[in-house]
Amino acid sequence: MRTINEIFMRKSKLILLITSLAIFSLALISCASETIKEVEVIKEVIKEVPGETVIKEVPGETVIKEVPGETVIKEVPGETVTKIKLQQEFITVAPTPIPGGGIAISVDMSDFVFASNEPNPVYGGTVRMTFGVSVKHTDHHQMPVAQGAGPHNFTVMYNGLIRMNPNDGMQTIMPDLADKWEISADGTIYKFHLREGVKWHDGSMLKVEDVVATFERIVNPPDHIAIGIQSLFTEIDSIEDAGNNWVQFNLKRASAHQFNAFTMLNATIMPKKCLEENNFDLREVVCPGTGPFKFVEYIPGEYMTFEKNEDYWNPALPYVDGIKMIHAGGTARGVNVITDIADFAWNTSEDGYAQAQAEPNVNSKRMPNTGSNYWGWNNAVAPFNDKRVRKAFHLVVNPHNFTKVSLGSTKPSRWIPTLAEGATPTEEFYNLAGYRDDNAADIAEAQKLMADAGYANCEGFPVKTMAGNKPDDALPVAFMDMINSNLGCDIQPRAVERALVQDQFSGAAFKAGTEIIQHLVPVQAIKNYTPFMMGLYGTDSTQNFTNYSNPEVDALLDTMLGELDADARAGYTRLVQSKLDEDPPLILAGFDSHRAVWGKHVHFPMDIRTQSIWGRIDTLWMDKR
Amino acid sequence: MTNLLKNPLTFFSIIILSILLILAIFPSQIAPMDPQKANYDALRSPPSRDHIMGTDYVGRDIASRVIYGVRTTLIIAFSAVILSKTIGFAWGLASGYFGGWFDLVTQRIVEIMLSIPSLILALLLLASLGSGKITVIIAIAVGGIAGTVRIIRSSVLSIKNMPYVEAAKAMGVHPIIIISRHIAPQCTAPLLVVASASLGSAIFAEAALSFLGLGITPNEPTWGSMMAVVAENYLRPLWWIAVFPGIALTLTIMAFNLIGDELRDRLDPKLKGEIKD
Amino acid sequence: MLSIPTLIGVSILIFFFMRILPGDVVDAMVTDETGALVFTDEQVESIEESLGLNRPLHIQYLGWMKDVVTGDLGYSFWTKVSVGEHVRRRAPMTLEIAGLSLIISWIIGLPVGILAAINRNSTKDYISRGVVILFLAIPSFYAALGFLIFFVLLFTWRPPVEVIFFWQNPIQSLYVALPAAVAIGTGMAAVVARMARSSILEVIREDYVRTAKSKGLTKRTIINRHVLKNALIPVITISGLQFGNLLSGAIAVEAALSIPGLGALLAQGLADRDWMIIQNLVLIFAFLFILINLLVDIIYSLIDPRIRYD
Repeated sequence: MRTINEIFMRKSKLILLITSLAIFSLALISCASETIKEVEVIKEVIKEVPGETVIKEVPGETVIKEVPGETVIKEVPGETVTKIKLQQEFITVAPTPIPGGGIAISVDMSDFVFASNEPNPVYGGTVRMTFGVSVKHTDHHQMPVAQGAGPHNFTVMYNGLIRMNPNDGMQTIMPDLADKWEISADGTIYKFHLREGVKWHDGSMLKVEDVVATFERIVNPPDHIAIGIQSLFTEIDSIEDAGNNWVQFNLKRASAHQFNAFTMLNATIMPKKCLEENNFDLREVVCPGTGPFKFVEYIPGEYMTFEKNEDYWNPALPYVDGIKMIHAGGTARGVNVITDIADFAWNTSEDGYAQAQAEPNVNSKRMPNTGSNYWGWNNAVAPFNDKRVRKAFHLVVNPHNFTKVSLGSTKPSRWIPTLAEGATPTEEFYNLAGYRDDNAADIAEAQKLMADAGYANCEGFPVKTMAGNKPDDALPVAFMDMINSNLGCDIQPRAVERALVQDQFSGAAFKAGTEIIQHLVPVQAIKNYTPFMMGLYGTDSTQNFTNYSNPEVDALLDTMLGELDADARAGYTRLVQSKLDEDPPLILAGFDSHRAVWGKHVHFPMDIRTQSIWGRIDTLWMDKR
Repeated sequence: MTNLLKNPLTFFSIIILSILLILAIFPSQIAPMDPQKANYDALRSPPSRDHIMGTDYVGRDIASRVIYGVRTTLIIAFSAVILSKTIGFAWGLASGYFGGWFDLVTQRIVEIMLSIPSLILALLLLASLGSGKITVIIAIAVGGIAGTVRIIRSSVLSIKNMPYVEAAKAMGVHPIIIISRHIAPQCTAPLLVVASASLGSAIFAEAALSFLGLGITPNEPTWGSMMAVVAENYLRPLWWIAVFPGIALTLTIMAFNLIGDELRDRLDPKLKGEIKD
Repeated sequence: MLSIPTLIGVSILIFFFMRILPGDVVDAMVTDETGALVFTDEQVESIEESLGLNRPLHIQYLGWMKDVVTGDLGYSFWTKVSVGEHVRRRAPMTLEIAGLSLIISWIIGLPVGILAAINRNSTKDYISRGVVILFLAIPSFYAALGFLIFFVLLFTWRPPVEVIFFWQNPIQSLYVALPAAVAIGTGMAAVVARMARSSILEVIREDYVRTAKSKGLTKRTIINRHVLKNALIPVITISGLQFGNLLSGAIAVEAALSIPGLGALLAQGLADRDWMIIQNLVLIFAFLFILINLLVDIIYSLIDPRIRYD
């Protein structure tokens, strides 16, 4: 039996509690309604106000951006402008072309909270994904970086500075570890503010020095390692700690692709301590990350598991308790989802996709993928150091046959993906030599070129083998068929394990010029393809395994890296394409598409995705289990 | 000869073998098209009038590939069997006749080799010798030697003590002549039996090896490698790529097995097997 | 008990094939069909050093034997995972398949063989002999592929592709193992049926059976009491010998069905030229084979009445 006193005491405590809560929430509300802060900023700012659409143009200035459905208000230069805190809205930040003056950009998205695009997400469950390859090593930045062969699976455990937003199909940029950023007026200084309180999986705090160490390794790798994305960051001169949790990148010159490069799925931040402890080579160690999942184990040939990071800096995420990535072959990946052995597959074969489309319990979607198979030879030694031989091969391979054998997945491409800027429209290049379906004339020309080079009917031609992961597959068989039957050669296939394909480029057969190697162009998620062309075809570049060296192309690409006007860049791109047609470094099969398959119980905005980009699934949740 | 044909199974296998022989010798005349030629306008077609067994994922005619596969399969199988039986025969003769430490060592080696399943032995050899036609033949052959040695040796042992052999020995006839004139001919029966049994397993071995991707080069049409493709892509549209080579393989093995059985029944009913009543 | 020296002999044989034959093992790893080197010279040297290949041969052999006996099966060259770990995970799967195959081969093979023997030369006999011959010829991986296609096409079902231990989840584990076991088991059943038939026919001719017949015992009693016991002895022997075929068959069948068992591990090791895996796994296979044959010998001596009365 309680005394009146006790009840009174209890009641008053309650009243006190309620009152303080009320005061507290009032304080919060008043704070939150504060949307404007006065800060000195150099010039322009971008602000969205939902509701009316107003676009005001001031002559001489350029419009910075538009977001569909949202408004843009532009401010007149010269005045101190306000910096706006943005709430749950997305902006595209493409650095503005800077003709002479400059417009600085400052963005504060520290209130942005990333969550599922659907209401009432369900927590729990282990999502089973299927992937197709044995991971050769665990360094997220080192080669090989092709989406299927590299350690991309580990993306789920790391973060970058910024990322593309899956909730709008990977169209706009959103915060990751950086919640505010600034770009100087002349486009040579990028500053990122790291959000506070981020912990590594081992409990230590994220610091600016981690970002600095990570990017220093990317920009200037030590001799004993090779960083795949180095070619995207060639314009960075130095990286420094700018104080107050800001990190600063100083560029050699303003470069159009540079900002978007930070959104690449493997431009992830590694802990400085782990880098230093392992001599900057992380191939045999899984460093702690800051990401929503922690690494548990990897059984080669079978599966890889991750568990939820309870201390993730976004407290609402992730939704699932863990990930199990199951190793399976191409068709099997789709079939596994259909038969409920898996919940999600980033990609499956055409057969798997056809099966999935007929199946009511799964979703499937075909998306363009900016990766491609290619066949590379050694451009530095005979026979391919002879431009005629290279051209002959280019002419004789009809890319439309690749489309046919891949059931429409691989489309002919003229050196760059069709969604890249500056790409030649298909109606145009489908009539060019080497790209046209009706290619009897091209074959005749190729035979003549080979004869001129001293290899009439392929006699005396030293190339004997084509090394590739699955040389029985449709694409390599078609490739060898076209070469052999049209030129009279006898190139035989040689199987190499997928994760080892890259090693073959340093093998003796390739060095001696007797082997062609089938490899993959890495997937890239940005429309400006310049850094990728530089990486693949620039002399001595990181992805240029074929030893191609064309000074004209080098000069063009270098100009393009610093060219901020998109139209001018497009013009240069066309020029590069025709130079590559004349003097081909390798043969591209064509950029193709990926076919994602996922169960109907999986909630993740795959259907609005405009491009196949694998990686993070932090906002994925599942209905059952 | 006629009662050979009375048994329906034997009749059946002789027909199959004759067909196989013709296909092996004249593939280009019989096969409708070039087995390696890709046809980009007739990809993945199911069996039809133009392609009775359909086409594969690059439009190559399956029927032609199956036909050319006959030659490859038979050459490899026969070469392997001839190689292994020749070596096994000579070794078994020597071991049985000369006895002594040579025989003891032989027996131990045979026992050891029989402790490793022949396919696995073949795989081991291929791993160290690398892939290629010659090495595949050698690899399959090695697996068949030990069994032959054992059988021939026991035959020799039963003949060795026959009076006419003793007599020849006493007369000082050179051992080689004794072996070749008196002993070897008596061992041809078991040799044939063992050889015919081995053919079936050699054909299986070649198919299994190319199925696993360890056979001869990846591009030549062999039945095993055709089936391997479907193991990866096992969905509806492509079943004909695996089924037809598989049927060819089954029929071939069956035919050789049946002939082997028939030979065994005739030549040496003492050996275990079907008892004809 | 000749098994221990035999096992040693087997290990020497494996060693011989891997090291002494022309075609140096590292060579096979680092060259392609045309004989061209695919690694640089420095890389080859460092490979040789890490594998201890520059030591004298007998030292290498003894080193390997010491490692095996102490349970150290080395590390996979490419995946850097210990071979022992791989084996621990995968052996149960393969053994499950092997066991099931054996059981299936008896369940199917014995009745067929007995039926054929009892109804000698009747239509039933000819049909069963025809079927037996057919199933003898069908390659196990073809049968496995056939089942897979059948189930995927008609039922949109395919067995799971990961290791599931029987003691953890028996039903799922059976889902993985049964298709493979049926594929292998039906082939073995044909051998068992054939053996059973001829063995029974032979025994029927024996004197003691004729005696029993003349004593007026029914056919059934004769069969059950006298014939079966004796006739099944060779069946057990042949099952033991068939174990070798079973292990070999497992390699291709596991590859066909994507089952992560020992056979698939060997196939993978061969494709990658992962010499540590190849060497040690073949040794394990041989060891299992010898073990089973030893077991068969023991069972044989226990149940063969002739030996007992000796």
